[in-house]
Amino acid sequence: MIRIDIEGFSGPLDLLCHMMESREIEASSVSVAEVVRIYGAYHAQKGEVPIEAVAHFLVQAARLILDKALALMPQKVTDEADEVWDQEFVEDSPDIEDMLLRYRPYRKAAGLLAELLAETGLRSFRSPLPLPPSYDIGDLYSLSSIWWCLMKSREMVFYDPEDAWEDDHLAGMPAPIPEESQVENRMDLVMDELGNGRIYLSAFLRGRPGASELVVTILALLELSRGNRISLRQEEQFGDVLVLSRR
Amino acid sequence: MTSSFFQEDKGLSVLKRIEAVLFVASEGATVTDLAEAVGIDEKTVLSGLEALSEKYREGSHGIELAFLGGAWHLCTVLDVADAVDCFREANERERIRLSKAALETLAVVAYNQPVTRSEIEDIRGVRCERVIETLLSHGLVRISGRKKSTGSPLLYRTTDSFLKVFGLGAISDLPTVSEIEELRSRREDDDGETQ
Repeated sequence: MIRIDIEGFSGPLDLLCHMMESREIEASSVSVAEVVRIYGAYHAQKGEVPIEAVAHFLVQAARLILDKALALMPQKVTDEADEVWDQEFVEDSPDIEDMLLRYRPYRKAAGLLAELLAETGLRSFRSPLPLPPSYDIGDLYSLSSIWWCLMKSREMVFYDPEDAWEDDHLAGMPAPIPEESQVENRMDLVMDELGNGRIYLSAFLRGRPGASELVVTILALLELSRGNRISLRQEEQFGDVLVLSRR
Repeated sequence: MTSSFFQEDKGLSVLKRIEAVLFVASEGATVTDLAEAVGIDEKTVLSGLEALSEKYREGSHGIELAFLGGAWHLCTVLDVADAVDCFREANERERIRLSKAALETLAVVAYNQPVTRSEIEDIRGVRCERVIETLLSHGLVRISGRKKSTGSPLLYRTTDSFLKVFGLGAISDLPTVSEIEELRSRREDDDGETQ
């Protein structure tokens, strides 16, 4: 399959159709040399041609040459092996005439759509077009589009200092606290509860379930220990930790 | 039928209500929506819509009623587009501009839906992933599931926005290929006569 981008044409088949309609190429006998020349010139002009495009180009060019060669032969090819090979080839690569025949109605339908679009474009609605993407179950594209639209609108809210609802758009949700502040707060709390005595870690954590509570507390204890404000003692492996004040 | 409906007091009240709902329904309203909002049955809503349409047509109004994408819309009539364009600033007007490739791909989807990308590419003879992305971003096509075949490829369908953008009430309003030929030759004849 050749990827082709020519202004005014939507693909190689469109170009071929145009050339046949404008009698640049006879539909009954497609000029292989002309097609190859035009395609080759296009790719040469473009400069950067992916290897895949070259491969497809060669396959299509070879296919056209083969068709042409077979059409020129007066006698029917009877060689069994050739027949089998030819059949397989035709099944793999449909005839270009068939492809064009199948393609043409859509080209006409596209023309009609262009007319409808131009005509309907004269109408105006209270909401502008295009319409926002519609949500449909299973339509991940729409979901992600809506998500990014929301993100965009949120960013606009954050960066607009005059926006009145900046403060309460997350009403009910606690304000996020930086990790450093959380550890510092926990250090103060540990020292308050500890006083001049001792406390077991399990007793301190009672009423504070959750992994994040444990992590913040451990970090606070390590920081206090590093600052020589407490000492930590663990009698047995995986046992409870005794926190002792060094005041 | 519509004129008698229009002359009755009760009918007038219903018409005013339908018109008011349509005025605020920027995305359009279905007959069911209107029936629920106005508190009448769908048959009466349809009669009311007919009466309203007639009223707009007869009174040479700048707006009209259009059934697009399965919903009724209040929109401007075609021949006032220049005035509306002048009013709206260029950057406010979000007209969809579609390339020839996009229109062809849309045509393939519209006439074969649901259809996979490889089926579209098979018909068009070129790769279509970028065009499909564009159509998806415009909301003109949508993913409608996966085909139960090797690789479970995604299936694409046109959307209600497609119908609205192209002025169609339903996908069945699209003409067949032979009708397209007739339509285009008739238009060419009309253009010839007016010139």
